[in-house]
Amino acid sequence: MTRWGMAIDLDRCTGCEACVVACAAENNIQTVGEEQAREGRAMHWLRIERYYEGDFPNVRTRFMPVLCQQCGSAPCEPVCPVYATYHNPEGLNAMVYSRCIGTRFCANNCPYTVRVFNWFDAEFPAPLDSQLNPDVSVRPGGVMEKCTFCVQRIVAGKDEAAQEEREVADGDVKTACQQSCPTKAIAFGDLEDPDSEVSRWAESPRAFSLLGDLDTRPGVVYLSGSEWREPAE
Amino acid sequence: MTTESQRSAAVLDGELLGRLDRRRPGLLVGSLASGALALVFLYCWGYQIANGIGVTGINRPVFWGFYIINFVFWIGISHAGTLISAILRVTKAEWRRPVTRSAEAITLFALAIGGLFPLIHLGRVAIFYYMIPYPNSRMLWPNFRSPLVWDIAAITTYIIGSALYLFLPLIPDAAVMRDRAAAGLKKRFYAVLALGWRGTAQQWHSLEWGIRILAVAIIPVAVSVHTIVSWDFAMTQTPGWKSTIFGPYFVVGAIFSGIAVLMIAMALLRRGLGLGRFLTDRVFNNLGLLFVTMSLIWGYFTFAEHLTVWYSGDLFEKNVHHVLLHGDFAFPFWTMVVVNLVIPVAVLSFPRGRRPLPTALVGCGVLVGMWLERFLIVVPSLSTPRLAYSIGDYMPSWVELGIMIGAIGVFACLYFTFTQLLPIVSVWEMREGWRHGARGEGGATSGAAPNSATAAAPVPGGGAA
Amino acid sequence: MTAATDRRLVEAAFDQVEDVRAVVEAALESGVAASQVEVRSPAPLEDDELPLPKPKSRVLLFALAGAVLGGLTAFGLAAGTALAYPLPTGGMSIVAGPPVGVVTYEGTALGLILMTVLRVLWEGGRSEAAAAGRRTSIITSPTVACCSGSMV
Repeated sequence: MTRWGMAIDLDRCTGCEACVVACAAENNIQTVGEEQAREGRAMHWLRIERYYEGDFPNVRTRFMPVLCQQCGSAPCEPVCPVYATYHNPEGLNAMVYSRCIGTRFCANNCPYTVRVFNWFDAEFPAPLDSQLNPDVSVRPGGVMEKCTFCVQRIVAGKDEAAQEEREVADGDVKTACQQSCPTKAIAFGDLEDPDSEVSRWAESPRAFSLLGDLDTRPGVVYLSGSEWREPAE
Repeated sequence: MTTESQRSAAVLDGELLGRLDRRRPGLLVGSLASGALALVFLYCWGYQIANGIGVTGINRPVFWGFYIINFVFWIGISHAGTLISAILRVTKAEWRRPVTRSAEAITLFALAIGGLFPLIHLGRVAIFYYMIPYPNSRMLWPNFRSPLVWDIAAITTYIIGSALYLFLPLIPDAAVMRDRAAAGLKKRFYAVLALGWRGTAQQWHSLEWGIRILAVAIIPVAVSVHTIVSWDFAMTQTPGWKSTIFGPYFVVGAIFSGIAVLMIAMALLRRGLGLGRFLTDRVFNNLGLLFVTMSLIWGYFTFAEHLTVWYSGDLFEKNVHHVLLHGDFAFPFWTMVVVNLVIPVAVLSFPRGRRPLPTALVGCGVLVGMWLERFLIVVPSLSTPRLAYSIGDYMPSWVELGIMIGAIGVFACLYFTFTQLLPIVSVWEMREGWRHGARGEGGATSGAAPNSATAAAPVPGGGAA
Repeated sequence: MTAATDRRLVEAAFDQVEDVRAVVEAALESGVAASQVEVRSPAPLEDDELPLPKPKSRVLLFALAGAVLGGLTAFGLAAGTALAYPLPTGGMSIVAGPPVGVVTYEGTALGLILMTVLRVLWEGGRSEAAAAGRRTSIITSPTVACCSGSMV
């Protein structure tokens, strides 16, 4: 059985946000426009959180890419009244957009606040429409969405492997954020496979889970060498 | 005794039924004004459906806003009627007789509006029925583990139960109206409502059984409804929501706000319809005592909730606690404490404070306070998420304000219309209460007594007891 | 009430229950069966006020049956439908006790309430059906009781 997972090495992250752009392009995430963005409604499945440490001028910036943690025991799942968000057998928290009625209960119960909502119908005025990814559905207004671990790439990877009559190998599936990371700070693969890159990263003594004491069993593992303290207000 | 009984009953009929035959311009004006507000409600909702849920001020991380606050608020108001009326019926409190009908009507209409808010709140209201269990083509059913589906089960039960609980005791009165109405549309309307009621011994017997059973059954339903509403919050992991006290706290808050609205409605009815002889000072005194008791219980629960959070030292819980008591939300928080606890206790502890005007004014304050309470439950918790990067803000848009104010109009419009169409004080129950008093049974010392005393005076309505 | 073809229907209105009582007693003494006497009143009368057999009601029985029916339906919905379409939940139980309990609780109450009201209406309508073809109204003046019985 596969358990898709991701490891992010914070010591390598430069906060360049290439992953954020790649994610938006890959997943047809709508651009909400200046006015809505000013109200804080910009939609990102992946965000770089910035935390500043120390007193001026001795300030250090820490970057933390936060995306859906694809929890093994996800708080968002049981609260959805219509099964629009459910648990995929491969460990993904899948979203069924067509079933979502927009109660936004899942987003309230997400301790990581990673779910984003389509407040209005998406608009892709030309020429933006010609860069839409044909493998990903465009979500209507009133629907919740979030990082899918690029599920369309997972499906494509499995299809390719099946055509070549072999198992999916480590590295066959690359997520958009992983692919675009200039410092190779992101590893993606099967956590059940002990030899996969992501498993080896997750074994690192630098590894930790975000808000781990909630026991949501995240599929995303962070690595940080220097003492990382969880950001408190 | 015989002549007195006749006279008193005649006075009673004249008082209660005469009001219905007379046109009351005040009520009509009220209906029209509230009807205009109801149009605001419809316009704003239509605007939102046409343009998308984004026309609200809801935003990440405050995904729930005014709609959910108002949902909880109106469901709370709905506890005015059915629950209070049922408890009074079950305990055979004689002074319930003039109160029950007006209280039950509040329940039904508040519930109808409260039940609309979760739909208004939906991102895609057109497919709200995905939450209802029905065999669809894929045989995929709703997720019964979601508190929202419990909500649907509870509110459906409660609204059907409340409607029937209002309707059953209304049948004999509808028959009275039918028999008094001149032939025509009005008579046909009442005839439909009366369902062929003739007042035979069998009909009375069955009806009394029905009311007795419903009164008992509706109490646990009412308690469960607001408990389940609280579980929409308490089942989550969100700091400030995850709390075992929420169930009883919400039930107490609901009854508290319910009594507040009942006090206001009764003071208005007493004045507007001149029902002073039925809604006596004694009724206000008793309800006032219940009111101040609920205020104290509410204060106790609030203290208990915040004490445990403060003492726990849990980082995320304390963040929410801090913004509530000392931070951005301190002003609404302490306002709430004043209007919900300080003022009610200061006023209602004294007999002179338990008269119609002061109780109604205190009731207005409590309504504001209880609305603030729901605001303070929804917004501070959501705007203070665990990851500090996402800390956010919430400001309602004009659409949300329009719907909130319009909803009050819808409620008032329904209530005014109901008051115009049907006896707002149960005629047959008053007669029964008077008969009990006359026969020296049960409630000889009860609310019926002052009525018959005044009734002995031949001047109808002369001097409110 | 039987059809008024070969029997005469006597209907009378009274101001006082005491008068009704006297008339009912007289009617019973003259050989009218108690089942032939129908008393209508604008407010419920106490059981001991008239020398007539107490009316019977099965509302409670039906209410309890409704509760069982409603509870079973709700239980079936909450537990059965989840099993009919078992979605992977990542280790969480798909049929959990508390949610099923909550939904069953509400279903029980709903079934009870609905059956109560239906039975009340049915029992009320049954006596109405017996008097089919006759259009009467309650006499609504205060404390008036109306006694009507068919006399041979």
